[in-house]
Amino acid sequence: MTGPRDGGVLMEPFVPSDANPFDAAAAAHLLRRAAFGPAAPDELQRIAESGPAEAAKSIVRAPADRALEELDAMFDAIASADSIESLRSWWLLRMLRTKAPFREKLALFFHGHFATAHRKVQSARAMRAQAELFIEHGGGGFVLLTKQIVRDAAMLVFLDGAKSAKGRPNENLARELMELFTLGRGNYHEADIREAARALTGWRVDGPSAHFHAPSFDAGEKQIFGRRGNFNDNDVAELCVAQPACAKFVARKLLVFYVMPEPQAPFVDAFAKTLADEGFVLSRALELLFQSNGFYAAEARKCNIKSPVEFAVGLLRSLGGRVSGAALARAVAEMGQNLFDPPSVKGWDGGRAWIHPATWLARTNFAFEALGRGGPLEREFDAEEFVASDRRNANSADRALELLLQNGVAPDVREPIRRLEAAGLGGARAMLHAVVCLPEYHLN
Amino acid sequence: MNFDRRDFVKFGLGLPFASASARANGFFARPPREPAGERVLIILQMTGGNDGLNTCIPIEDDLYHRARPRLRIPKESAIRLDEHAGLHPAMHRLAEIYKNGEFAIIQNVGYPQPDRSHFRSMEIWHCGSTDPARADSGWIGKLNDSVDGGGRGAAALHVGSTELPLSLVGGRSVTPSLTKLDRALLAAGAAGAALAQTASVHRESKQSAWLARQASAAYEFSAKLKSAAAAGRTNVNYPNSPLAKKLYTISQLMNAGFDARIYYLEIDGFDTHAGEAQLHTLLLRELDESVAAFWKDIRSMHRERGVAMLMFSEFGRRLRENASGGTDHGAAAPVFLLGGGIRAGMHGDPPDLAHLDDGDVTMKIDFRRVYASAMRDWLDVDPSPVLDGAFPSLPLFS
Repeated sequence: MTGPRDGGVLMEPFVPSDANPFDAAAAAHLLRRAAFGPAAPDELQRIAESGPAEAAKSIVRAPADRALEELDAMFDAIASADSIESLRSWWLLRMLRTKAPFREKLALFFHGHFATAHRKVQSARAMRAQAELFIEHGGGGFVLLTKQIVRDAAMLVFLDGAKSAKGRPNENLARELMELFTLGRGNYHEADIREAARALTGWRVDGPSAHFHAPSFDAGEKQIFGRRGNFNDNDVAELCVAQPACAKFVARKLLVFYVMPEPQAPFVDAFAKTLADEGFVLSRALELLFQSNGFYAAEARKCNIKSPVEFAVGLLRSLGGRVSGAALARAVAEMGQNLFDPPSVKGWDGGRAWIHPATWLARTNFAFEALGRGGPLEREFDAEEFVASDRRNANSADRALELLLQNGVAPDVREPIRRLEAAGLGGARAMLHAVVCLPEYHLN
Repeated sequence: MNFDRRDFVKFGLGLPFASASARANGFFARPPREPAGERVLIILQMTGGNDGLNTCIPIEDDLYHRARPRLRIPKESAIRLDEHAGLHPAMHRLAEIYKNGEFAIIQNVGYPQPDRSHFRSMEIWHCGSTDPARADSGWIGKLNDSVDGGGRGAAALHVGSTELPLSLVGGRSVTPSLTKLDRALLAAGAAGAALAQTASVHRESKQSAWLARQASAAYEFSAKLKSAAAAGRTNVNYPNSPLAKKLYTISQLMNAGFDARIYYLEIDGFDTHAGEAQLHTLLLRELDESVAAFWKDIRSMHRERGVAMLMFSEFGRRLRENASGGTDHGAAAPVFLLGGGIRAGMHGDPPDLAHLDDGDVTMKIDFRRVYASAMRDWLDVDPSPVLDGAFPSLPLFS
């Protein structure tokens, strides 16, 4: 479907037809974007059979996975060391094991949106509290989330809010709140930043938590976006999100993350309207996005380059088998995504910036380890068994291409991979390696 | 694998690392002066907005001392360079190099209508343009595009674990990036040949074709590094800092005959909104120790006349210190240049603190003149496809 450019139609529900069916490829598209890709063939089949609306609903509304509490408890037991390495492992293992991957994926979006780096915060516990805020409340209201983030301990340290006080406001947090979190450049004045910085004063950070310290708060009158009042941090968050520029700014960032690298203005406008109509409740807006014409349009398919986390977690979820979380965290860092340490407050640029020769080699080398046994990843995986477990298709190279890529690839690509399988001992591992190193596998 | 045999022939011979067509197009038309074909430009990005006023300090200016009651570096602590300026005390090794005639300071560098956003300002520096419409690729990327067939090898190398800086992003050319040599070698077992073969297949989809090109470049890069990693060790002791490790990697590569013309690396943390006195000292010390060790290494290789290092930041910082013991985003700042083939010393006047641009140092030298000088007078390439306008050289290179 090439899709009309009319924004209204783009956000209307996608109605499958013979020409544009809701097939395995469409279901895999949904699972790759809204979650971390299909974990097993039966999941793909179940989603494909349920139709776009039911499929979006089942993914977005999946209840929090209680089984992960065991993982949380394990982390608590070792977190006395306040170790960032353990924290990275904790989050990646959650992503690998969860039955509600939509939540983790959205939290990953917010980790890049409200980007905060441990190298400055220096508290794994504060970073964990922030990640939990995203996992628990990411799908809730964006206003509430913004209110929480400007008084979040990690954020207050990262953007110097904890050092800002009455009479000596620090503008860093106020500036990024407007420039990167809610409005974008050109949608505020320098004076708004100065005044908002005064309203954001009064917060102190003690270890992993923040608390309000009244004497540090500038309770005087401020003027922000032309409105006057004795505003505090909650008011600033509300004022920012209420600005007309906010819905478009957030809608565009969500579309870039979930749909396509360069969404056209009509799509952004239409989704911004959905977002505003749904009161900025992200789970509701995203559920509508995940069943829309724009989301399933031909130009939205296979156009996003997987982030290292999407690639690694997606691969491991579809392969199964034990993996060391700590080694996995190091591997994704080497691919260019060191969790809890985004390169700047702007988060990761993403898209083509993920890929250059060294990060590509990090991906191919990770895949090689992930398809083996032992090694730094402490893998328990048997490529021969994985390939042998499904013999419905006569040719396991074809089967692997279908399972991992859901669509045909050019014969020129298929042939060398088939030959690898025939090569004998170690052939299954080499064959699977060649499949997941195909450029197509790195597209969402 | 689809290697260009010519690349192998050139590799190790100290000839430029680019395709024959690139040379025909003029990138390397004039043989570099000294030593032939081995002139290297290193760009060190000081990320976050380095406080230029506390790096190259206007020690005789009362306006400086009055604006920074807490953060000022007193005249007697700074290392005096001339009648106006002193270097931060943490930079005593670079001060020595300055006195030896191998370090230059270019004052008040910036661009018109300064933008105080890190991202926009860095984007301007990265793209070599103040025009947002030209922000899709970087100045080194554009340079590679203008001389390279696109996607076949690279004249530049990024050393670091961060994302590829925009300055190195080209429309067609691919710039590799690495931290440690041994991590960039392909581990593929039996699939190695199949990987290269499947990457070389023609693709209709723009995004997969682009990815396939990156993959091919990566496999080629890995093969080249395999040779470089086998050679090259140095006797110079480097400090144990992230910056020193990256500079050491560059030294290893150069020693092994890896023939990139441009190396790009970053040191982060200069966004000193709070607690600047301590933080800035640590950063400048890391810079001083690491660069001085690297320079000693380069001298021991007798490559000092063929290496120049340009150090820049996206902006300077406000003259007036803030209430958190830091400084906020500013405008113009000094750029530093290290090399044996440069005109060392002070370029430009001291910052005019009586005539500020909205509280910040006013730009006197457009940063694109620095880029133009490096391209025209050091790399012997035409800067016009890269920069949108005519930017005359500064007398930076001898």
